[in-house]
Amino acid sequence: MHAPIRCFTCGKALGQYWEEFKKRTDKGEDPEKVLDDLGLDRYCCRRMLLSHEEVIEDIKGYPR
Amino acid sequence: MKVTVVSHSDNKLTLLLEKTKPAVANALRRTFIAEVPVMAVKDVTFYENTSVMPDEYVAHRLAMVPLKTDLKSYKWTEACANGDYSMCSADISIDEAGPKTVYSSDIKTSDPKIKPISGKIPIMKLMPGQRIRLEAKAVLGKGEDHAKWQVGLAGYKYFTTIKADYRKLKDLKAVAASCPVGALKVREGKLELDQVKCTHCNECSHFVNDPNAFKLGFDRTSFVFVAETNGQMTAKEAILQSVKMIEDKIQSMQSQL
Repeated sequence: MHAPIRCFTCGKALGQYWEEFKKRTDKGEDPEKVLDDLGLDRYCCRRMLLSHEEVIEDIKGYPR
Repeated sequence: MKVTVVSHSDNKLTLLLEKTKPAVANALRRTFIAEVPVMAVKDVTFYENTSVMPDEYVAHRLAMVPLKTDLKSYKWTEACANGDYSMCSADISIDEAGPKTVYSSDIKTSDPKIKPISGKIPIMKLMPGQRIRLEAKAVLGKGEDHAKWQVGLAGYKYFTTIKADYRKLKDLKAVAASCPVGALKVREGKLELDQVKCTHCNECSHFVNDPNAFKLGFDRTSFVFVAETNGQMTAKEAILQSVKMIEDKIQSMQSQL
């Protein structure tokens, strides 16, 4: 759905990193390097951004 | 107890606690995680929500946004039971219409000191004609009640001790090189260990493979303590607050006995 605001496991706030992560990986940068730059060092936080799929883009136009 | 600061940034603090006990380090850790008060959105009133997501979803996302907390000017909700809530809660409102992405920077607050840690957190995506209009209250809370009130993470590990017989160890450099995190170094014919880097993975003792020559152990009186906050307050403030809360608890016992 929407980008996660916090890590499900440890609770670290990471919503502010999503757009930068998306922009840089779309340009072809290595996700590993981007995550390191953002300072996400635990694997629970890293998977939050790595495995996220912005499904809201597909459904936001349909009525509730 | 001897405390050494290893590294210090706004949101992360690494300390060495020496000559103490696990109970002390654990009390500090538990207080840090569960009891340091921080601000988070609690009650949300929706006036209009024509986005595709239900009210609960928006309210939940809003609550997860960490807010910068000023502990000096706010009190627990119970302190405002007389009806004046200005000391206990900050008012928050959002009024945005699509097409746009509502970010945490669109949150308007009654107190300029209470604001999201970052303006770049996406809260809701709106299409043309969709609108969100809401009011909310941010109050102080404890991490033990809900994760939205958790100031951050804290953890500790024991110091690692090396018991080495240098007459039996031949190639010290090779032993040091066997460490996958680079925590071992050779200095003046002896092995030296970086306590912060060491993860106690035992790779070096597997490499030597002789318990008489090389053995790792725990020093249960010294700890590497790492505290990390989400930005609601600095790590140092949060640690000092936890220390103060432990102190207050013990003092309240003293006065009651």
